Amino acid sequence: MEINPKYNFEWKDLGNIELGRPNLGASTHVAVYRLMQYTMRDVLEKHWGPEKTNEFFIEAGYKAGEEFCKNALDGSLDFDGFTANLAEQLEHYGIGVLRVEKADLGKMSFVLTVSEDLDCSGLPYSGVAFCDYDEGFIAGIMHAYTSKDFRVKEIDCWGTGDRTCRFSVDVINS
Amino acid sequence: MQSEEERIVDVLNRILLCLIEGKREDAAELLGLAESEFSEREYCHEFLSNLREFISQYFGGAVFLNAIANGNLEVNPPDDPFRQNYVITQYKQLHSNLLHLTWQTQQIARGDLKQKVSFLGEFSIGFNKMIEALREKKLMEDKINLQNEQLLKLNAEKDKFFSIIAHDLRSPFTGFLGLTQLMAEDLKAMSLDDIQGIAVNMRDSATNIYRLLENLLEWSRMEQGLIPFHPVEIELLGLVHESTLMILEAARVKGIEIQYSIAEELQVVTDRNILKTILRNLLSNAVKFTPRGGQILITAKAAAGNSVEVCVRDSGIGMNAELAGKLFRIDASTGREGTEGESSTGLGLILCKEFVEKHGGSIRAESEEGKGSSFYFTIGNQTP
Ligand SMILES: [Zn+2]
Repeated sequence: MEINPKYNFEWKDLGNIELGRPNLGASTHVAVYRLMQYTMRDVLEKHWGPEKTNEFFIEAGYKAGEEFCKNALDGSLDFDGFTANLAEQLEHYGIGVLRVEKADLGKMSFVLTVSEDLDCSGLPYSGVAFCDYDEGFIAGIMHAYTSKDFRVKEIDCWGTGDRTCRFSVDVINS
Repeated sequence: MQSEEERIVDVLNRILLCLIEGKREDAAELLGLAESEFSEREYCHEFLSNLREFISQYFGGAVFLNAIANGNLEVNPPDDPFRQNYVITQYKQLHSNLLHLTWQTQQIARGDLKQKVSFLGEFSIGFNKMIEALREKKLMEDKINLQNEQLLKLNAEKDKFFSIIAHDLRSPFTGFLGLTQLMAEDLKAMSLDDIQGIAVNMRDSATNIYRLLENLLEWSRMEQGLIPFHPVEIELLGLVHESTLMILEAARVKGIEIQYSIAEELQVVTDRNILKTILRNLLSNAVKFTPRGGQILITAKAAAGNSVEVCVRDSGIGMNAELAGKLFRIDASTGREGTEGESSTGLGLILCKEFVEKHGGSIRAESEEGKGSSFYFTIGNQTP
């Protein structure tokens, strides 16, 4: 099948929300976000199967993370400043409460948790970690900040019965 | 355990109780089944297998919980992917909080005082007060360090001042006194040409002394904040022309050609006297350090904001990197003689730097030994 993509997302495609929604404002109900995400997952899984769908979500999250870092974060800060800035912005956008559990700058290895996560907090137990999109999102941010590739894995999730999402973030040494 | 899990355990208990009391029908109802569909045997099997799993989860979790209770945070929760462990869910949360708190304390120890702890109410309040106290202490230290730096600078300025009075002011005076001595003793024996020669020397000495005094005075007034700043619109070309008049005679004696290439309409908003002082010093240096037959070129162009960048370039003796690096520093000695023994203290450049920087500009020098020097400065990036 020949693919000719016509669209390439950029931050500016989000439009002028202030101008467009003078009364409703920039916020919406989390349910709406999840409605979009999980119906999309439903359709994609039916067409492409669960594994391919996970890949789609990771890839989309990665792109979002890169654009988010370039447009909403200050990449010139040192690591301490950057994590503080990231936590602040994740809270500002209502994505979640970021906390660092471990950081080994020498090995570029981190353990992060995101509480009150936009994608999965409050979801029923299903035995599956939901946050593929977040995995990609974190990897995208780290790549935009360090120009290095990272392997991000969600270790705990609401979907697996935990109360906070925990991610291991490790640099991929090529 | 969560309320949902508590409810399930409660239901299981009640079913067991019903079975012990022989109430099969009630037990089936609790499971949502008709009595005919209910098998005691099956139920007990399932109950026992669930109990076994719960016990295994409990023992798996106990290792984890014991480690946390003993303060070992390096422990990992039992690796039981995609199987919810009711026993440890809440403790994983505690483990996570403690790990984050540990990381925060490490960050604070490294000097990251922007951390804010949010864990265990009273504990957070105390902890954040401690961070606040550390932050205040750090601010105080920074302030003291800054004051120390200022004191060191003041001291260096004082040293410079005394060294100028002791050496640089003394030598032209010595020459001047010698000449007056000569005239006082031998005037009658002198020809008119002799007298004129002495008068020219005396004039040069007096000019030197006067310029030095002028710089000293302006510098000390600036240090005291007494230099007024009255920005006005100035046509740069006119002011440059005016400034060159002051060095014209010295340049003529050494056969130095002065040229300028500045657009007629180029304007700058700044204080006239300050700009003149800067130009006077750069131009008089250029004459001092350019040998006979050399050239001086003054150029200017518009720069960032409303400012202009002026460049005074000479074809003189230039300087090595070491001297160039010390040029604008009060704590370094940069005075050296001009190509004809003209005296120079280095004070003029320090004055230029202070003037330029006090008014939002910058100054720098580019030079190579034997190939001349260029001094660039920006000025006028201010609203009047
Ligand atoms: Zn999750």
